[in-house]
Amino acid sequence: MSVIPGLIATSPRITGDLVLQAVEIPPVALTLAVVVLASLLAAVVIVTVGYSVRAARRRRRRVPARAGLRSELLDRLYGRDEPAWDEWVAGLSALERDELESLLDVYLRELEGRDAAELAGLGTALGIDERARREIAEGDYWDRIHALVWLALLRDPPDRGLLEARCTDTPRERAAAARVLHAAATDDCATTGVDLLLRDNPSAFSVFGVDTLYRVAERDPTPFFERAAADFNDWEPALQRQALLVVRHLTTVVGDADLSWVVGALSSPDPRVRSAAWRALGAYGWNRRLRGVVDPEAIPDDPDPTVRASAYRALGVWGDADAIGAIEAAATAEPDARARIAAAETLVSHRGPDAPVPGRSASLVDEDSRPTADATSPAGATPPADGSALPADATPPADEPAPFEVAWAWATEHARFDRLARDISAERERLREEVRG
Amino acid sequence: MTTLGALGTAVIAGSGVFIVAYYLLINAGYLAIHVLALLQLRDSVRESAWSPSFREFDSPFYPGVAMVVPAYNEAPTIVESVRSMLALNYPDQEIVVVNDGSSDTTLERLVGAFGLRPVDAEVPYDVPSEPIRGVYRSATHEDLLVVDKENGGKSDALNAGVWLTDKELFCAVDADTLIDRDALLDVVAPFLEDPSRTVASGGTIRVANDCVVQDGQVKEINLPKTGLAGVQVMEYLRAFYSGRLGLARLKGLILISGAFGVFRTDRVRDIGGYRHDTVTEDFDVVVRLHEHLSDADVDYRIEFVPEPVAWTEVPDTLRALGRQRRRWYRGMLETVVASRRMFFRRAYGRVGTVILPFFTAAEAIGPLIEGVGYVLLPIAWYLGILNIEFFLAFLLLTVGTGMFLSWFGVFSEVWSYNRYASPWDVLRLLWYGVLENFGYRQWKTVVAWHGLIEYLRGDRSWGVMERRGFGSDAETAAAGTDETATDETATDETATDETATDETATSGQRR
Repeated sequence: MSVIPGLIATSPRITGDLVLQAVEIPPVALTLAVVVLASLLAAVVIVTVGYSVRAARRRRRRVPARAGLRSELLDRLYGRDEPAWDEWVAGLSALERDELESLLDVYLRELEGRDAAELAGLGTALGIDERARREIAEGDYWDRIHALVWLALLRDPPDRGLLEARCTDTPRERAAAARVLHAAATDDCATTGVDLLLRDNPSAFSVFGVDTLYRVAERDPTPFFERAAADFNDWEPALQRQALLVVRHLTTVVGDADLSWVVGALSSPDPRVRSAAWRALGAYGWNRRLRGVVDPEAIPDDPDPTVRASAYRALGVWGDADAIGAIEAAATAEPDARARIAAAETLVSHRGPDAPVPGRSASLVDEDSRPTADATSPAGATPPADGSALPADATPPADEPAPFEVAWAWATEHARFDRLARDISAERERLREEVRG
Repeated sequence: MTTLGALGTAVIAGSGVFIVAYYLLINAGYLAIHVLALLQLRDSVRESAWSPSFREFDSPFYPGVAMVVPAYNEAPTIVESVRSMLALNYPDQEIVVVNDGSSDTTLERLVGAFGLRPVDAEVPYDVPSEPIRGVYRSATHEDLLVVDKENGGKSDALNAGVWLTDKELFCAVDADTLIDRDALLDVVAPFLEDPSRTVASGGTIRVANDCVVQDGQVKEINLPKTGLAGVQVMEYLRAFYSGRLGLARLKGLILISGAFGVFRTDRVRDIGGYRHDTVTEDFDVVVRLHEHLSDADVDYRIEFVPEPVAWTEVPDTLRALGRQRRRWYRGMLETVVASRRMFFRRAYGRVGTVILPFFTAAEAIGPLIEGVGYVLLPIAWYLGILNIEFFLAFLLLTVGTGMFLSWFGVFSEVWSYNRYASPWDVLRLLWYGVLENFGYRQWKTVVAWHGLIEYLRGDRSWGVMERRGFGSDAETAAAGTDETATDETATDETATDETATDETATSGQRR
């Protein structure tokens, strides 16, 4: 006999019970579940409210203390010949010292020069430097990276042995350690900094890491360029791009450093590396030797439009007749809309927004041939509703502008707005200066 | 007793067993996610406490961010929202407001407030959106661009903005959202830490009802005075501080709020931008990014950062809330169905093997099953087959565990960033965690069933959006434009109500 006929022959209660009995919940288990859940609920309420009350009390005490400490700190920093930090700190409670440390962190990030040096004295009076060294020597990861930030803010480098032994586990620690050396302007900041940052060929840097590499290389570019010349091809593409980004921002400080690896990056299989290489080379238009080995005629052959756009921008920064001529030659036949815009913006920045469209005689470029819009429709419509765009080399109908003319009109309009906004901003600044007297 | 009657009784009793077992599994999953969230929150708090010793505004390496703001009939709030965005702390920022064919004075307000002038040139890109009527730039704010286009919905407006910016990243922001001054700096943190792999990052959304707003910034944080909005505060906390953190810990974040999320511009363009045929475009775009990047075998990260906060107004009437939640439910079903090929496939990592199946079971099917449970209870009682142990187990799993998980979310907030400073507010939040289980929770299962019916009917509307605006200026503005702001039209998809699909995470987090 099947079970189902048996089930359906009985009363509803019995049928339901049979089903439920098959997976019966023991009352003990249910009671236990209720007790556990109730305990958990009680624990969450107690801990939550407890935390909240404690935080509210701390906030009530800290807010007024912070206001008083801030005014006292500024008075000692700017209002006296001698701040007498030790004397002041000795009279503070633990809560006030905590709050003062937090204020010091804020001001050390904002101030430079003599003020920052004076404030470093307050850090010493609070014992932050000693504590930071102790935390680097004995603390865990989080202790160490906080300690390194403090030492960088105080411009107070620990000895190299301690850095080597305790601060090289992760790229972040190494960047923070290099930053301490840079902040303290140590003699070996570039050599040790580059060594720390590029140790083990990391796959990529954080933005903090890139910025630190840039700062130490700015101090002395030689160690970075030597390292890149030797290892660039072994690096991951992401790291290559970041190194090229650093080169782009270093500009003239590099002197006669070996840039052959940057030129070599133009042949990278990764289009983003090629693009970064072009942007980097843009900053070295002053280097005739370098320009001599770059072939602008090859730009249209690159299959990636972002690379071509970067190349146009780089040539625009070079700005000489050959470079501009190369952009003009390529731009009118450029098939990609964004790359066309890059070319147009570059040319507009050189010739000004009122210049005629390159590739057309001035007589052909009159107001009627430019894309216009009436008062109710300020800008022309987007390209055809079916989404198709005209190929760059296609001949548009007589009443439609060529793709590069559209890009040119867009670039000139935005250049005008940029200039207008800058003029208004400068005028505001001038008026402000006048009011200040 | 007829055979049919006995069979029906057996089905009812069997369903009861199934529902309790189902909830047991779902709640075990939620509990695991919440515990993971706590670990992630601990790491996030540590991470946010570490601030490297360099100045953001001096560094040339910060990625540029375009704030893309779709706006449809946002006249009451748009000026204040844009001011709030212009005042954000960020070294390289652009604001792109996309007026999606508003029928109110959204564009006129922007023109007047920011000295906009038309750009007299055709848009040179092929933009995958409805035709663009005009592009405007500000004479006073160099970094403000306004795009005026034919109405096409929120996705369409976002696409116009994404295609018209050259910034490396873009931040999708609802026009009725207020962003904390440092929130953009905070939400890009994953891009700063791992610039080559990070493709998206989301921040937290909080409820702005009854908060004091000045100059586009939330100056005083208050809990809403009404219970309905208050319950939503607690839901948002649970969703963001438990749900999303837990998913982020699993490396399987599938939701980034449309009200405040940052994306790599090229990656979103690579997938064709936002899809037009969904009402929860924010959920959809993140799932498609997972799909696309996994297919392309790209090593990537999608992260959630709990500290940066954007504030939004939540519905304070049951009618408006019901409309919103039905839409979220429909959108969730659309995305789940659209991404079905990812289910149980190892090629999509944890997203395919664990997160999407669990999410579907818990968020899409869970409320429906819970609703069935509420119907079966009185029937079983009437038939005299209500088993007390099963009834208690059902209550324990729905109400008891729901309360625990809600309180867990409140605890996470208090333990970490503690924005609700008063212990009384915290007690009220805990009380809402109790209150929501009696009436509100059951109502949401009805909303889910209603949403399912709408989905099956092919309903794709967004419904009415009601704007009050922030602060006194906005209220004055709202007075003159309420008819248009609340105008129910078939195409008001850009009307940016609270973060689409948030509730897909909030509703089920405590089951």
